[in-house]
Amino acid sequence: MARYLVQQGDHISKIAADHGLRLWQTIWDHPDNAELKAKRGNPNVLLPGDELEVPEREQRVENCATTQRHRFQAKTDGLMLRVKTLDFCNAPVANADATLWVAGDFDHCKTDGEGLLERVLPLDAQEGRLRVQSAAIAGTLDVPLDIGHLDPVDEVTGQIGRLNNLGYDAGPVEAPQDDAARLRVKSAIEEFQCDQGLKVDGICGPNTQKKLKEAHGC
Amino acid sequence: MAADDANTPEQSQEQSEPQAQTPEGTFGLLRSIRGRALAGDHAPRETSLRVLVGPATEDQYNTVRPGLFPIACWRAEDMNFEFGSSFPMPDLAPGMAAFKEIFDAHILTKEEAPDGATDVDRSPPVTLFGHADPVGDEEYNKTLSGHRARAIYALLVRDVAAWDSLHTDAEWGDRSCQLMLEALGHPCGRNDGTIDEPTKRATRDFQSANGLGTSGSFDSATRHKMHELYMDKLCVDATGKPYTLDKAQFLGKDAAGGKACYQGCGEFNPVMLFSQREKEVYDEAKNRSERNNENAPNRRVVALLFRPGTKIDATKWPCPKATENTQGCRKRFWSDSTKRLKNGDERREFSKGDNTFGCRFYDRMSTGSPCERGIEDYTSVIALRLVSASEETCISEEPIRIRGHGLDIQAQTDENGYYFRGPVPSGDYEITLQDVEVKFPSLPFGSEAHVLHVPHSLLPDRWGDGFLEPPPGGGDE
Repeated sequence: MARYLVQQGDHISKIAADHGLRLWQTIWDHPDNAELKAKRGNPNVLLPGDELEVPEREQRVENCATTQRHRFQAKTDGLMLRVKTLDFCNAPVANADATLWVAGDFDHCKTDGEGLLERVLPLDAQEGRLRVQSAAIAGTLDVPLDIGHLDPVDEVTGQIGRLNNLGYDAGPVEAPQDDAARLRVKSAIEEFQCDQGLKVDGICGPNTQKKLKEAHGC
Repeated sequence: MAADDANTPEQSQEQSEPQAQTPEGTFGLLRSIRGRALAGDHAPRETSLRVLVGPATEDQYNTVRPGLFPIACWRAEDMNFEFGSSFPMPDLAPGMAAFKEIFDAHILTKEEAPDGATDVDRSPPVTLFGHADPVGDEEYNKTLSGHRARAIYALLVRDVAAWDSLHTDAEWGDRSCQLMLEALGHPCGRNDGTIDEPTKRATRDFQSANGLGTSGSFDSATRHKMHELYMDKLCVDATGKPYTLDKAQFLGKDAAGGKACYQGCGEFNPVMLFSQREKEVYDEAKNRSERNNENAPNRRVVALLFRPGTKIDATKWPCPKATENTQGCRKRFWSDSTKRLKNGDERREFSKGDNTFGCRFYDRMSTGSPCERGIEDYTSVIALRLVSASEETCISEEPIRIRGHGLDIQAQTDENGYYFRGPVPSGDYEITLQDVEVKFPSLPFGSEAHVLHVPHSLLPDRWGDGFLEPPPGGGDE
């Protein structure tokens, strides 16, 4: 059993792969990680500094006849990258031409009726790029993706990341350093609260966090 | 893989936009000051440039939505309107030229625009905000500021009928007719609203010139014709040529009764708030005209321009219509708007980084806007550089003559081909280079000349650092 300190850009599947584990559930469902699992909910959105117990690899024995040829297939869960694109009015950008780069590889596709794009993600992928073309968003959206960099929603950095993705311009993804930065985050939170019909107080409490997670999709 | 797809994602980077870092934050650059109006570019938003995502093992997803933020702005100051009225004064003409410049600067070329884009698609959608000062009744102020925004909207789209109804509803009065007649070449000799014999004569001249009989009174048909012709005098480009916008070139596309095309913010977004002490003094009857002068920067009409192709659902636009009351505004107020709009111990100013806007929605739209500073907050500087045809060598120590706005300067470029001078009145100048006369900003070869508008806080501490010459008659401040 090894103790692992989560780094920026980590997500559970990547940590599992780095430790030679086939299934991320081996880590996530381990009793020693129950507390973090309950706290974070989503295994792909961890905070740098979170600690995980990583179990040792276990040997598995299969009995087979020696004179035959055997084929073993390891089962792994597909890790996905899903991105939904919305227009200025929060309507999905449906059936739009799009390109999704991940780890130097790209895929020309179309968003579905919900504005969603998805593709299987290599476990070690950290960088990507999304390009969506549609008149609904005034031409081309072209943004780099930092995969696994989104922090949990109960952290201010996680809130800023989600607010920025949702178009609220909350500022740099870091704990606000000065009054101007604090005001920018507050402004984004209040505007989001207003749009969601929540009480407008500029404080991202449990209700606002819940709505933020819902609106963002994770 | 097609060849043109082989480029790495990093190769398509955002272009850097001009911006100025001032002690109060990042502001876009002001492009022009004309008459009593200014126009410029908003500082770009850097947060839309990266998206942080979490991978999914179940049904999670990430959302990307572009923020709705303006790219440019224009502001017409109070003096472009009659006091307490929404009637645009003849002096607005240069201001409308400034609008045309900023609007044109953001039109996409056919190459830049997506295939099949129409002229309307290629132009930056506009929305207009009227603002009043914090004196008087809130609802009255919202109505007045809404009227002013509507007057500019109607002017741009040549909605003469809208002016006809403003004339009545907003009580433009006979004074406005006298001002229009004068601008149209039929001076009444006065513009105080008193109808005397010369006024009647000028009116009859105007009427007969336009086939409207000779009643000599400002009847509705006469007013309509006046409005129509005066609009063409007022809404002109820098060469004096009339221009119009299509209603579809506004953000709301005229789909919901002017919603998202023009609106009045009333007194909720002042750029300057008196201290409590100042307010008490200014509220005394004898000080009212001084108070109104001091409050002038608050009374303004601002146009915000968005990225060409930006489409919104006007019915969901947060601002109430110009004709609706202030109730709808309050939904978008800052949670601490009362504190923001309260007169404090000191005078507070938006341009100095103070929080004076009560409406969060408008405040967010104005972040990085160079137009929420007044004309007085800028110093204009002539900046030029002469280079040879090959653009490789500068033309140093070259005699130049610059004329315009009461200035006639004979000077020469420095060893690097530069010449700076400021402060100067804003506007166009003529430059003579060895008897070749050229007009800003077109200079021969790859040379450049600009009148730059610099916030005071960015100016060097003293003049004459080999960069800026002392202004005629001493320092500016």
